[in-house]
Amino acid sequence: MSECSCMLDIQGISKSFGGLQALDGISIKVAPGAIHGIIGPNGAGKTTLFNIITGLIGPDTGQVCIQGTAVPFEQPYKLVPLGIARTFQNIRLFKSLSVLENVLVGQHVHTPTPVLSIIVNGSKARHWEKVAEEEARTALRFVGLEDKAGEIVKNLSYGQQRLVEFARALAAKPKVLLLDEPAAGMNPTEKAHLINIVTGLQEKGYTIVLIEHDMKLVMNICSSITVLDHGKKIAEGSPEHVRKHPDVIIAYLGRGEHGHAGSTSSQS
Amino acid sequence: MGANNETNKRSMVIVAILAAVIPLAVSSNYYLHVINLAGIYTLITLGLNLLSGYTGQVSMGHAGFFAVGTYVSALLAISAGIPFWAAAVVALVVTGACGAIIAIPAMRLSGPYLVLATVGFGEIIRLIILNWTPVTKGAAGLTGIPLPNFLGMQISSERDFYYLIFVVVALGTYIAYRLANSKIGRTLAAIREDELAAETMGVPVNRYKVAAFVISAVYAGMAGALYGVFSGVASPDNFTFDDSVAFLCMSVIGGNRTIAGAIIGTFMLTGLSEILRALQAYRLVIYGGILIFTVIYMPQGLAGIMASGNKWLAKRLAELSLFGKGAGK
Repeated sequence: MSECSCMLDIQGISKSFGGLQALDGISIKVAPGAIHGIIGPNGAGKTTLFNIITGLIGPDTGQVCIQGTAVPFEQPYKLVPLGIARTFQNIRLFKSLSVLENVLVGQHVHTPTPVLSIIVNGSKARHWEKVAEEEARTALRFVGLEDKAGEIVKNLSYGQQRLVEFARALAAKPKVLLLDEPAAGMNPTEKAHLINIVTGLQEKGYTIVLIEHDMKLVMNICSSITVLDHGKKIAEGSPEHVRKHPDVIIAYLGRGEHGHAGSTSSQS
Repeated sequence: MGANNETNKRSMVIVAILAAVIPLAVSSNYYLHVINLAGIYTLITLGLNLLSGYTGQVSMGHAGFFAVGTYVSALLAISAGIPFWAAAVVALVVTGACGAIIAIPAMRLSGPYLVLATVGFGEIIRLIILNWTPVTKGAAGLTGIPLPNFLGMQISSERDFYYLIFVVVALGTYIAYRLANSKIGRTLAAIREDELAAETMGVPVNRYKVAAFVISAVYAGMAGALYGVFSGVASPDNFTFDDSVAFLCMSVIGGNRTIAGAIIGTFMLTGLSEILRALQAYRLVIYGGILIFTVIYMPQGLAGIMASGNKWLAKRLAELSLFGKGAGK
């Protein structure tokens, strides 16, 4: 395995579903501390790539390394200890549990409590429960939901639920945070709050990979961007570079009538 | 949290004291017998609540685990003369192993498919007992299961059994309560709510599911071991699909996402089934009616109703005392 200074190293991932080539030899390197955006039209293979990185499905070829360690596929629970946590495109919370309980689950691997200690309510169980609760409350404070800790999740607004999912991922103490359309369904205020959170996390040293459809948000906060289309990487680089890339413009806007790309700028 | 724990502890102590004096107050052996039976069933429901209520793995085959517990311990006692406690431990190991086996399909199945698999398990156990005549005596059943000893005393009267069952149920309730109100309970609930999300947060979901099945089976196994010595006889008729359904009804009607619910539901339905003895044939019809009512109007079960009733009462009392203070000025 080649030594790589990057945090997340995606090497030649291909995946097909039946006759559909969802991903075709995708390689992406994400530097530590980056906010890396993965964009592309619907059906480009973004979520498939995320599902492979987080171990939900296995690729046909290729591998994913985090700080030089290859991650196992199709065993998602082994990824948190390696430092990968994610959020979902369509929020997946533990709906009938409280906000705090949801976030506490994120602490699962970091609080190895012996069963016997749990049964007798021993010092270890109490210690780890306290640690977990402190971490969970820190994560909640970070996303600004500390006062909602006791609420049942399904009673929260959509935007707040997204933040709970965020806090849950943070409680897992990841090195790499994968955000699948974090701004989907958020109103402008919530989006501004989200941007603050994401940039705040970058300052704290997290590496963030996000899929997003809101081009303005992506161009604003990402330090690097990969553009996928039909399972292929068509462009990569800084927001400025990607914005001007002819293939990207074609992928998003289509070819003009006379064979040249649409001349409007990158607004999608 | 702290205050809540204190109230919980206090109510546990009150329940324990009340429970300890019941046999002094209840002179009728018949009532004690019903209470003892309900105590045994409570163990099954506790295990069911951990499995179905917390983890979301609905089982309609718990009569199977119950039967394994009864037959393993009873056969060891009858044929090898092994004392009750040792036989019970073996029974727990065997039922735990059965739990692990039935957990294997549970890793792949969910919802109605899992329910069918557990129904199948319960029926397989019953049919084995019915047909493996050389060992299990088939339809004739086992008789003369020896009485247990405790510290040299033979446990024989209803009152003796009451205390034996009470101690086991108290211990079982305590363990279930600790498991449910800890990281483990939270993790099990997370699996019930969203397996995939739990898995992505680092929870080894399959391992937890197997553990939930094993724990639940062990509870039913312990109930079985007690049932054998308590009733002295066992036959396949005691462990039918109807019984599995009845256990599930107790769990749901009491409230399957709480530990108190298991106790409340079991005692209520066991009592009800005695009251309605004349209508025995319609037992499941009545249970079914109550079940539908519960699911629609009180999904948290009786325990949920009581909890919200308590809250309501506490609020009214607080208002009253506030009002009282105001009036006093």
